[in-house]
Amino acid sequence: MEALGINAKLLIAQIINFSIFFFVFKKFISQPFLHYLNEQHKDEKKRQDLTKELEQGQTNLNLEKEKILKAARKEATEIIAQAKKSADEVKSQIIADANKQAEVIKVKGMNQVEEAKNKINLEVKDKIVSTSGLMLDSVLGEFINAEMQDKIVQELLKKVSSSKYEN
Amino acid sequence: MKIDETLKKQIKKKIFEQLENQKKTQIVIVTPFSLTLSQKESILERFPEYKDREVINEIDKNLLGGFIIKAGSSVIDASIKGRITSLVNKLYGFN
Repeated sequence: MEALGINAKLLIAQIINFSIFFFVFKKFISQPFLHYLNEQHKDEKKRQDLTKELEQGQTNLNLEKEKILKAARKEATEIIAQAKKSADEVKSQIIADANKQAEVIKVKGMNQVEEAKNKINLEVKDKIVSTSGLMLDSVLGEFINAEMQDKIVQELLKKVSSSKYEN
Repeated sequence: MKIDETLKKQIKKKIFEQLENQKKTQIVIVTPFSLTLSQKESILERFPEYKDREVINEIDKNLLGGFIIKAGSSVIDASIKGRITSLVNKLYGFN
């Protein structure tokens, strides 16, 4: 071995050194490091799980949001339809009332026109009658004299009944 | 001066009696022209119940023609004016 340039003592010492190094490395460096790596791996997995959960939660929230929005849209549509229906009913009622009022006003107006017409007719009749009476008075007043009075008295005596007016 | 109430009543009663007697003994014939004797006779002949009454003639030109007899509370209207008024009332629709 010496011819090969290998020192047995040195080799044994190196083997012992290496064994010690291996033991120390395995005991105090490798295991904690592996433990650290495992812990890191576990943490990473936990983070990934948490992220997945968060993503799932986000998806669920989105779905819930969409569902709520859909329900709200449906409710809004129903409210609009109901409001439209109510508005149509109110509109119809207003139109009916307006037509009714218009009819009342029309009838009232026609009655007023009829009353005015009757009043005018009566006034015209009054004027005609009073004017005729005045004309008759005037004409007869000029026409009748004392001589005619005798004939008139005789004629009226024939016609007059025994009508007496009691005061 | 205060008049006794009893006396006042008696005076009133006397005046009313006189007026009533006057009404019973008189008739008023209203005409547009003076009443002639023949007209008066004709009227009294037509209404014999007034023959014994004193006739007072009143002139009212507005009557136009004919006559009105007033005897107490009775009135007989036989005037042209009365006829016209009656006609006008008929036209007004009063009768």
